[in-house]
Amino acid sequence: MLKLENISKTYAKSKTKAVDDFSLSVNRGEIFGFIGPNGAGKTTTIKMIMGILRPDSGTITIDGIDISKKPVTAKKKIGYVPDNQDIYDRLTGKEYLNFIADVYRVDKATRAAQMEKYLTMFHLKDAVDEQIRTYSHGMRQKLMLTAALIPDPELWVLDEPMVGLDPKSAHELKKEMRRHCDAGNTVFFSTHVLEVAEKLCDRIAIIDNGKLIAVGSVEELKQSYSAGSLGGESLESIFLSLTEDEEDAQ
Amino acid sequence: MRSVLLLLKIQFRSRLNLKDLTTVRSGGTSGKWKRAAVLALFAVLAAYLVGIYTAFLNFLFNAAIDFGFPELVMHMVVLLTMAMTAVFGIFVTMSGIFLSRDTELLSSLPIRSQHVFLAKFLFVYLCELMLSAMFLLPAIILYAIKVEGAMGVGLFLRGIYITLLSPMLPLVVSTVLVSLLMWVIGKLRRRDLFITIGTFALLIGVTLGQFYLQSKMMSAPTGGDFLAEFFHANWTTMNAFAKPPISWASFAIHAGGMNSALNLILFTLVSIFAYAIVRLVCGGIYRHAVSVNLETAKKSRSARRRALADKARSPKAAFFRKELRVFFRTPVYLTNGLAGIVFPLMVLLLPTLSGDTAVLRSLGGAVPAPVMALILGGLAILFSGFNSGAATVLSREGRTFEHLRSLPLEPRDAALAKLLFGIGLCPLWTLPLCVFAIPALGIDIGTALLGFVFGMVGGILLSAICVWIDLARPKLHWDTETEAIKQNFNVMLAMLIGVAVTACIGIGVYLLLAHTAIPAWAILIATTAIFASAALFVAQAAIKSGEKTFASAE
Repeated sequence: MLKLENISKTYAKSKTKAVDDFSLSVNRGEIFGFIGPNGAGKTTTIKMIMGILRPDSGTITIDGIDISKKPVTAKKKIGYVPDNQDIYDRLTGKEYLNFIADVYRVDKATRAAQMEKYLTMFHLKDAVDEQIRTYSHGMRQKLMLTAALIPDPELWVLDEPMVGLDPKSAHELKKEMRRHCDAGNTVFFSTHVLEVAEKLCDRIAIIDNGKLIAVGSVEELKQSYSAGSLGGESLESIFLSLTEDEEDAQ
Repeated sequence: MRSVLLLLKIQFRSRLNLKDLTTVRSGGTSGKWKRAAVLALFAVLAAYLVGIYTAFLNFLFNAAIDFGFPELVMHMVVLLTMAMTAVFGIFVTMSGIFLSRDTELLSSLPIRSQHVFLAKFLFVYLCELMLSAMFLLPAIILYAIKVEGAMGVGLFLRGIYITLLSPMLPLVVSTVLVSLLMWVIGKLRRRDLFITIGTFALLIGVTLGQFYLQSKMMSAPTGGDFLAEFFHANWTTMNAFAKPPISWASFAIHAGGMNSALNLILFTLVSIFAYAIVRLVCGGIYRHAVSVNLETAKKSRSARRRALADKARSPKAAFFRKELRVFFRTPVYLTNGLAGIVFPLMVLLLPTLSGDTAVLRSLGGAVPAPVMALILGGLAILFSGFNSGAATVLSREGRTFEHLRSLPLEPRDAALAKLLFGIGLCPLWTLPLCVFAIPALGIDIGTALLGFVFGMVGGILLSAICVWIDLARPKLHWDTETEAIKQNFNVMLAMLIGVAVTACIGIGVYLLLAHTAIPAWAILIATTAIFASAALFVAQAAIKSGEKTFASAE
C-alpha cells in the first residue's frame, strides 16, 4: 500500500541528512507504527509521503501511484493528520469539515454519515458551529482527525494523533484504527507513546538520525534484539538500547 | 523594578528586532544587509515626512509672526502633538498592552500583573515619544530660529524636557479609554466587530478631516490668507484649547524666566498625577481586561441546529468559499483589504465638504461621456493597485499552506481560486464609486456604466498583477495577521506597479486626447480592449506561477 524506496532528504543550508537512504514497505491491512527520538526524521518522512516535501532521491508510491508524478491521485487515497494544528481559525468546525469533504469530492450523504459518526465519537457535535479559534488543543486535534477520516481513505497517515486527546477519545481512535485495518485498509502513524505502539501495531519501524535502524513486528523485534548486549523484554527497552547504540556509534 | 526593566528589554527585543541588525545568525550576512536597507529606507521616509512637516511649520510661523502671535503656533503644535499621540495611542495601547500575544505567557509567570502592565505601558510610552519628538522638536528649533530673542540653551533644555514628558497625558487618556473599551467588549464579547467598525470610522474620519483642511487651504487665494482667515474664524476655539495643561507645556517651552519655570512645574505635576491614575486605575482594569481577552468568544446565538453536511461543491468552489470566509471574518484583513473603497469615495466627497458641489457637477456636465468614463474608470483602476487582499492572497495562508499542500487539490485549481478571489474584490470599490458619481458629478447612468466597465476591466488587470506577484513570491512566515497583510513587501510592490501603470495610461490617454484627432470613444474602446487582453495574459501567468508554487514550494 505504501512503499518508500531509497529516499533521502537534506534541508537547504544544512549539511546533515534529515532522512538518509530510507526504504520501507507497508502492507494492506496493517497498523504500522513509526517511532524515533525527537529530530529523528519522522515528520520529515511523513511530509515526504504526503508530498509536502520532495525527497532528494528515491520514490514514494501509494498503492502503486508515485506521489511525485501523480500527487493529487495519490493524495486522494490518504487521510492525513499533521503534528501541528495550523488550520483555518476563522472557519467554524462544520465549515472546515465541509471544505475538506469538498476537496475530497465526498457526496452529501456520505459526508453527513461520516460527520455524524466521528463528531459523536469525539464528542464534538456541540462545538461544530463555533469558530475553530475558540477550540482547545484537544478539540482541534479531534476536528482534524474527523476531517481526515470523512473521505474514508484507504491509507491513514497520522503524525502523533493521540497528542491532546482525552483517554476516551484516544481509546475510540485506537478501536477505529483496528476496524479500518480489519476492513483491508492501512494505518501508518507516528507516536512517542511506546505502549500504544506495542499494543496496537502489527509492525513497527524505528528511525534515528534519519536512518531506519529496525523494522518488524513487536515479536520479531524482541527476538532479534533480546539477546546479547541489546537485551530487553519491552519495546521501550529495545528502543532505548537501539537509539543509545546509534548515539554511541556516532 | 527589576522585573519591569527585564520585561521592557524583552518587549524591545521581540517587537523591534533591533538585535537582528547586529547578529549574523538569522538570515546570514545578506539578511543583515537587507534589514539594514529596510531600516535606511524607513529613516529616509521619516526624514522626508519630517521635512515636509517642517516646511509647513515654517510657513505657519511666518504667518503667525506677521500676525504678531508666534506663540500661537507653539500652542497649536503642542495641541496637535497631544492629539496625535492620543489617537495613535489608542491603537498602540490596544495592541501593545491589552491584545498582546504574550499576555497568556506573562500571566502564568511569577510577576505581578501591575509590573507587567507598567512594562508594557513604558514600552508604548517610549514608542509614542518618538512620535512626539517628530512633532515637537522641529517646532522648538524653528521657534528658536524665527522668533527674535528666543534662541538659547534654556529654550532647548526646556523643549527637550517637555518633549520627554509630552506623551504622558495623551497616553493616560488613550489608556483609560481603551481600558473602558476592553471592559465594554468583555461584557458584549464582540471584539472583532468593534475593531472593524472602529478602524473604518477612524479611517473615514481622518481622511475626511484631511480633505476638509486641504479644501479650505485650496479655496484661499494664498496660504497666508488662509491662515489669517483661519486664525480669525477660529480664535475663540483656539483660545479655548490654549488652556492648561496644553498652555502649561507651551509656555514652559517659550515663555522664558519664572513664567516658564512655573508652567514647567505645573506640567510636571499634572503628568505625575496622570501617571498615578494610570498606575492605580488602569493597572487594575488591565488584569480584568486580560482575563476577558483570554476567554473564548461568545457562543453562537442561533439555537437552531442546522444540518452538518452542506451540499457537495467542486474543490475549486470550496476553496474560493473558504477564501471569502477567512478574509471577511478577519478584521485586520477586512479593514486593510477594503481601504480601497474608502479613498475613492472620499475623493468624490471632497467638493461636498468644501461646499463646491456646483464645480464638480458642472465638470460632470462639461466633460464628454467617454472622457468621464475614462476618468472614473481610471480612479477605480488606481485604487485596484491598492488591493492588498489580492497582493497577499497566498501570503495570508501562512502556516496553513503546508496543510493545503497535503490535500488532493490540483495546484491549478488552487491558483485559479486565489486569482478569482483577488479579482473578485474589484466590484467592492468600483461599483460604489460609479454609483456615487451619478449624483456627485451629475452624470447619467450610461456614463457611470461605461466607467464601471472600464474600471472593472482595468481593475481586474491590476488585481491580477497583485495576485501574480504574491503567487510567485509569497511571504508565508509571519507571526500575526497584521504582519501578513501590512508588513508584506508584495503589497508595496503591487501599489507601486499600480501607480506606475495608471500614470502611464493616464498620460498616454491625455496625450492622445489633447494632441490627436482620435475620438474619445475610440480611445476608450481601445484602452478597454488592451486592458482586457493584458488581463487575460496576466491571469494565465498568475495561474502558472501559482501552480509552480503550490507544487514545489517547501
